[in-house]
Amino acid sequence: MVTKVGTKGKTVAAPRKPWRKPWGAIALFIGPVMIAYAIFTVYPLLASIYYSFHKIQPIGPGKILYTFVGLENFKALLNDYRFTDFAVPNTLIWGAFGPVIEMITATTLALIVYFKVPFHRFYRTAWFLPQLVSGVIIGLVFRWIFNVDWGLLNVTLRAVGLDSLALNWLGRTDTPLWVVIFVHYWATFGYSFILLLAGLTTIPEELIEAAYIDGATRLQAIRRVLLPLLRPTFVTVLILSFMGKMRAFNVVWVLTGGGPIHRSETVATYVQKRAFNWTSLDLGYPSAMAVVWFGVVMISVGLITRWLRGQAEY
Amino acid sequence: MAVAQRTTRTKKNTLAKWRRRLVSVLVTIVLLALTLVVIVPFVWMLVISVRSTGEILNNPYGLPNPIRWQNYTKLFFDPEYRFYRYFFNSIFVSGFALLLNGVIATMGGYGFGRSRYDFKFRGLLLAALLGALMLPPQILYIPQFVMMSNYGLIGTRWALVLLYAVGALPVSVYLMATYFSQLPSELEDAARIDGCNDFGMFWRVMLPLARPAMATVILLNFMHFWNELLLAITMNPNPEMRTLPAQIFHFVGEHGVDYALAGASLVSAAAPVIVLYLFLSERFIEGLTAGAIKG
Amino acid sequence: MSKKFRVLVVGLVILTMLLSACATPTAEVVEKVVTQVVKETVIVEGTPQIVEKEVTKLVEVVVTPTPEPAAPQEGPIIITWWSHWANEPAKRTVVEKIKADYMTEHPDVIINLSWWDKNPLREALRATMTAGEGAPDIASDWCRLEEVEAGWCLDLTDALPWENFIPGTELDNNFEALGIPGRWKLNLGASVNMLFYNPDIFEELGIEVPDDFQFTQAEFLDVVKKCSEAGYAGSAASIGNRPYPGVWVVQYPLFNLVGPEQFDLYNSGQQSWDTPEARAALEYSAALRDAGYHPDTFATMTIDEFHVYFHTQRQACFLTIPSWYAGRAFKAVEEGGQDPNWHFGMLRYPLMDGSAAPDTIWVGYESGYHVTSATKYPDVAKDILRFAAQPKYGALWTAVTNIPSAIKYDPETDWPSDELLAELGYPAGVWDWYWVEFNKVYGGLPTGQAPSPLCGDFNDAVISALNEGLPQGLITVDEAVEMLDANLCK
Repeated sequence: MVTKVGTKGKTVAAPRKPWRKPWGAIALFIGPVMIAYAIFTVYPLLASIYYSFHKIQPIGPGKILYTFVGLENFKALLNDYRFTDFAVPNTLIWGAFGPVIEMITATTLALIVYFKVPFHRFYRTAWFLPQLVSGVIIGLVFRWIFNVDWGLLNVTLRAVGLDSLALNWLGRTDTPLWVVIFVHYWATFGYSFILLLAGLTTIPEELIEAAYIDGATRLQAIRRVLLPLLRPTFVTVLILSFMGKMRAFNVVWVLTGGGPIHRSETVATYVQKRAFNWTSLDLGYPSAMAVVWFGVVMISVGLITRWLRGQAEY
Repeated sequence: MAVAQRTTRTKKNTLAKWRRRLVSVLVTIVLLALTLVVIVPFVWMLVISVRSTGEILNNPYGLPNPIRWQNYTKLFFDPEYRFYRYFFNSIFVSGFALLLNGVIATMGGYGFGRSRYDFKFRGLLLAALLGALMLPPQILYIPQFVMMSNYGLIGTRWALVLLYAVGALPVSVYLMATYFSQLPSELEDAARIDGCNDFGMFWRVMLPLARPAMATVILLNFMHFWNELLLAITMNPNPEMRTLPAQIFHFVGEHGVDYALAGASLVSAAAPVIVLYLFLSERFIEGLTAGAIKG
Repeated sequence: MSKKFRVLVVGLVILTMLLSACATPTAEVVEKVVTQVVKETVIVEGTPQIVEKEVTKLVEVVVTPTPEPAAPQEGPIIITWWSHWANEPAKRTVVEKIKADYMTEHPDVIINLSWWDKNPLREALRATMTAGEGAPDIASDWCRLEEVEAGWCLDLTDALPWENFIPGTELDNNFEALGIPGRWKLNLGASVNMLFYNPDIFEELGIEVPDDFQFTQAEFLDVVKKCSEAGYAGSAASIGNRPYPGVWVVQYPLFNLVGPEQFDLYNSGQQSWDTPEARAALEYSAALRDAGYHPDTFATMTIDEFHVYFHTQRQACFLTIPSWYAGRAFKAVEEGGQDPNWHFGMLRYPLMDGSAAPDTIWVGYESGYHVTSATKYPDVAKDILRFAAQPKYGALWTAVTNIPSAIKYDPETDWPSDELLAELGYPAGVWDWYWVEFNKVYGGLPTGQAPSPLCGDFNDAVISALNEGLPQGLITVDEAVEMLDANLCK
């Protein structure tokens, strides 16, 4: 597409685009980004894949021995009950339920605030607060809140007479995962909410006006006009939310550390445990786990995108 | 007949009006209750941080009596805790990471955003860059750890500076690129006429205009760098070099039963970002939404 | 287009590898690691048992030599010391005194001593030793089998005065039975596993302490039931941040039932748990659990919290605990310690039916120190540990922390003076009632140890099955036996 023009460049209609690509400038501007990215992100990704085929043994301070073991790590993954019975199902449940609940509630809230209920500016500011605080802090505060004896939740439940609901939230087998999902939701719904709200505000007002003029009620306007137009944003936010849940670490680690006997274990926490907290010092096995999970996330995101985008074509 | 019609319509209208008002009140109550759920943990954290541990053990939800600001002075300056060190570390790491990221991402955004610099694979490269958003940190941090140990950076703050800065590149570059792509191209022509070369164009003309986007990027990244935990605990075994999240993580393990002090540590770590946000909430939200939804 | 794309991608990949390789300094190349599986006959310590075991021996590691690093510069020698016990001021005082005394005697040595909680310390040690950067010279022991095999610990056989220690100390963290010679750990404290009770609750519930300070198996279960009905927990232990308190409820009965030698085999994974005795102990622990032995917050309370639960919140009848209780509990109330005027009571272990060792008390060791192989001054580091192994420090340890010492001392000549104790902030006499009770209940009883080391997989199985699973009713006794037997150390 490069049109060759004379070096003097004096034509009547001076071309907007340069006739010679300024490669020097391109390299100057894009170079650092791509180099840094290559060294610190691409290379570790490739290295992880490399590690996953090895057994990695420390044999002295700073000395590591790599032994090729082929697919052994991956086979071991399939036999590891902590992975197959707890980490993967928990994370998948979270990845399935979490985003759905989050999208439904965030969209509803975004719509409500969009229609300018009283205090809507206050809500916008307040609901974003949890996002600002580190996962450590959230995990710790909620560990205290869910304490069975003096935690805020149980104390409140007992105060209103719902003693039977004052469970040992973090100590039973059936509740820790849901506590984790709830706390993480509390921490991140503000982000989805804000993004959806912003998406709503970019929809031209005239379209809604037109719908009203045509006699639509507010609900119909929402269903027929806003939601369809919100769809691209919705899909983006859904994918972001899904990816976030599949790799969440901070809150889980601090709140339950994987829960009583792995009941709230996620792939992220299990990788951490095997890499830095396990009896064995091998790093190849957790790398294999991370690689497998990366594949799962990529495929899931691909599937979701295809499914949702496919449905948008009408 | 016309009269009868009018009466029914007004009756319907009044009913509808009352129903609307009722719904509005109900909705407000629900939303306020929701907001309460969001805010109460913060408030409680704040309250326990100014009481004494003994009081808290006896009555976790009482009001402070008296308000013990000395929890904070003890936390920060008592020789056993000296929390100011971790503040300093967090500022150091966040500051340098913001600087590094800001420089590289702005230049990168300019290169990716201006049509002048388009080339065949530019879109592909940008897509590859953004693809990193799909990477769970777990797949990167083990080799990053080995890499940092080969460079001899484990236990220094520079490991975190590098990893944070590069980790935030995808989003930062994308935001800057989107912003730059919206600036009119006449600016370049004007600068060219004034005799600027490419870098001059960037430095003299574009960069000053990019301040809003840069501010957004800085705000967003500051939030992430200040609060990051996983890399902070992995790359920094040296306690002197810990950032705030890492230190809080260890602190509560070591001094967990001293609830007052633990509460104070949580509040101190959360305060900077929250205060910044309360002053700049419009900017924050603007920034978040600027690039993300245009995907 | 696609060909060019492929070329571009390959080019990028090669570029990144080159760039990263350039940044990586050439590490020492290990040329050969030869291991050999060998059948050995091993005499198990303390028993007339000779066992044939398959042992993987590291025959040789051939390493390309790297040039000698430059000699450390002239000037003070700086030793970095990472110690556990951040939360135990009494132990900190003793170790700080040892450090101060050493620095006074050796003005050319500067010791940087930092205090940690156990889990972060272990993680940091692992990270720094893997990285080869930033590791301390001395650290609280984390020389299990895996660390020793990884070459992270220095052998202290010739460095410490082993005759200064009480018998059995040399067996702690000792893997000679597995074919690896060497001693890796300095023990300052010894521990006695004890059983405390809350006398106020006993009085409230009308529970009488037997004359010989020992409930029978059935009586103990009964008491726990009574406590639970009155709203108290049976015993205050919890597993929030430690992987072993949940196992005590099985270990105490098993120890009492089979005696120390057999217990050692069970405890170290050298013996199948599918025996009537092991099952009896497991069943008993399940019965206790069902009777309300564990607190509601069993899964989440940290080690400090369960101390507070027992001595300040007074929510439990019993507490099974080794001697290091005093390290955490005998400090200011504001910091989580107990009121010195609250005198709890001690008991002997519940007497199991058919007990082989009705009176024997289970003794052992607690955390100590080792020298890491990353140290630049191995001689100085070892010398510091040798310095700490003097009788006067053993006495100082007991005097300040109220925990038995692994170092032998003469109470007449080595005991610290009252002035020294007052200067350190630990005046004599405050906790005398504790020792009176101790001698009353445990004085003169035979003792037994369980020194054999665990192998990795068995350790994990114990944590999953006995620390987490069984006490919370998440698995049955049969499943626990299965898990343990599937991971025995062979």
